Amino acid sequence: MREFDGATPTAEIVAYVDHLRTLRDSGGDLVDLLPEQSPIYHGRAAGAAERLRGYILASFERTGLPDSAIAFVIEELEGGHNPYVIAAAAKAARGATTLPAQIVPLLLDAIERIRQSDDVVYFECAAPSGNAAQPATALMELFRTLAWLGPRASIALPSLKAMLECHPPAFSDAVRAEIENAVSALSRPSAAPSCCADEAMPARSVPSPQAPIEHIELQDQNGVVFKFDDFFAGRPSLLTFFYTRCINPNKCSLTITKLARVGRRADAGGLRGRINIAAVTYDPEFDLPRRLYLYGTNRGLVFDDRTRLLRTTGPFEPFRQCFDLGVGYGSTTVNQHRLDTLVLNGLGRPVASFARVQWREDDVLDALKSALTAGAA
Amino acid sequence: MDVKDYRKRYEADLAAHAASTAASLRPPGVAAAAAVVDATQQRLMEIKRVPSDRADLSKKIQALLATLGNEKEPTVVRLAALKALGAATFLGENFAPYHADYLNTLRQIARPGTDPQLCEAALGVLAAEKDPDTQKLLQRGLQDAKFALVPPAKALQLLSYDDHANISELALSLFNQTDDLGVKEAALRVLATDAKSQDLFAKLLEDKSQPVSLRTLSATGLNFLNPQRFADVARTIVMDDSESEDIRDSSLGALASAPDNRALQDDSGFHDRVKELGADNSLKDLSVAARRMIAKP
Repeated sequence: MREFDGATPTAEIVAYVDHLRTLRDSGGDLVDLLPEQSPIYHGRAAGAAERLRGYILASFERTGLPDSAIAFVIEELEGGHNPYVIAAAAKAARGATTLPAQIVPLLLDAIERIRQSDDVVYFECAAPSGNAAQPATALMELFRTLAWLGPRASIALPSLKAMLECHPPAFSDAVRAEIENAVSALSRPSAAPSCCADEAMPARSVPSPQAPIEHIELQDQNGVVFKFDDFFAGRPSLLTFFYTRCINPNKCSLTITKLARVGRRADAGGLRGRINIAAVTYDPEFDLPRRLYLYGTNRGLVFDDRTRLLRTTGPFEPFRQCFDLGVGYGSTTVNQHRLDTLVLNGLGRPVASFARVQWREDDVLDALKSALTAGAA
Repeated sequence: MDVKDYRKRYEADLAAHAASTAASLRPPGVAAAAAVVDATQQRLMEIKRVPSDRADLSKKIQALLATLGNEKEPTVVRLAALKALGAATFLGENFAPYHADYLNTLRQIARPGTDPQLCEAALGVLAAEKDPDTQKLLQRGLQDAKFALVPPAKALQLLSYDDHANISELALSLFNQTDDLGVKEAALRVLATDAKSQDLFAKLLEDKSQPVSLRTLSATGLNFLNPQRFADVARTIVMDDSESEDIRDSSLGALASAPDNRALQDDSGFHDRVKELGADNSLKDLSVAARRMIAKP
């Protein structure tokens, strides 16, 4: 793969991506450009980084979607908020040979999520040309993917028909034409099952700590300072990551809200005092204790000795490296990040990992209980 | 009275008022010019008309988009259409079918050659949407004045709508290069989102030779980024009788509003000085701020 970094002009990277689009089996090279911490995004504005990532993602429609890229598609459809990247994910899905069964509900969720923020999207060159005739919009791309799925997406038919029956119309004429097209594609008779391949998402391997972390200094929402091991060693922990300036409500804000819910359920299940519940900010320079306190409190988090929001007192980078976290930075703050949640054992080592897609509270609680049992054994 | 009747009567009154205003402005004997004024007034009245139902709303939004995108329309009419569309965006679901067209139309306007006022208004909406292409246009204009679509202070203000836009380095460079106080102020507002600006804010706040507006913005910025560091600098300023009363007053006000100022409350030297300031009737706002600080539990 060619060497790019955050200083490489976008046009140069786009030209390289365009070249990859013409090659067979270039999917792997494109996947290498997707992780948030990739050097190509370093130092770019969040909007510019997302635009570039969307452009790369959309390429899979032509090159074919490798299995290793499916999680990126699911992630955007599940929780993305930028219409451009969501549309790119929808296009990428059209390059797949098999897709997880949840793809249809995820497409419908994404439609609902961006219904009021639809925008024109261009994937033939990164800089939009104002002269293109009848440009597609993000919603149009989502409906085109449903049409591409055809009868395999037939469970979406009632929803699509309801969208067409809305009065006054809930979509523009151009989008309605795509819905009508999708309805007719989904209604075609087919011997195929009414869903996609019922494949579960590949589980993420548990990251092995890449660097020593036990002496990293942390500060909690009350300003108390301690070393990593002072808090995390001795009992299993739920550890997740966030930052208070995150602009996607489906990411950090939801993560801390879910953390608070897990805390309440852990208390009710008799786990109080036996586990740690913590989240560390990606943006420690900005997220000072008072901000952490307010962010957690406003999302229902009840702080105690074993439930804390944390910041590193020094740089976050050692933490990122240690747990192989998917986060990239512009010059001021985070520009992109994935969801990363870990369950640590009593030695502070990861024993379960939930990355990129939304974690379920039941799964996290089960992993915590398993870690407790293993620790006792 | 029926709401529809009331609306009709109100609109008729407005139209009559507009017509009489236009007539009074009319230069005698210039019939053609008067006709243009009348036509424009009518267009403005039509734009301001409230739709009667949802079907009418749909037609109205489409007409507004056409007006906004029509280069042959007078700027005042296009600006009115933009304002009306801005209000319509608050209709949420009802505006959703037109959102993509709206942004696309604005992008056609936000470019060189468009009337500057209209261009600035379009850039404002797109910047609020955190549109990456708009941010690129604005940054290009800040880096090279010949590409500027709006003045530098305005460009900085529009870019500051997105604290993920990565413009703190550019803002710092502009701050250091320019003598224009307005641009310096706009740059400081941008820098208040970057934790790395703390040293600059502390330096400006302590520097009595700086304009009051820059010192006040620095106080706000430092308090936002690092309240503890602000409290340390502000304490010195409040205690310093040679300081400007404005800066002392702002600093004390911010300290009094801090969620946790126990450290200062326990500082007997500071506490005694604030008491003295509160009792000093020769001071105005500073005395009031001091009494507020003392009264805080």
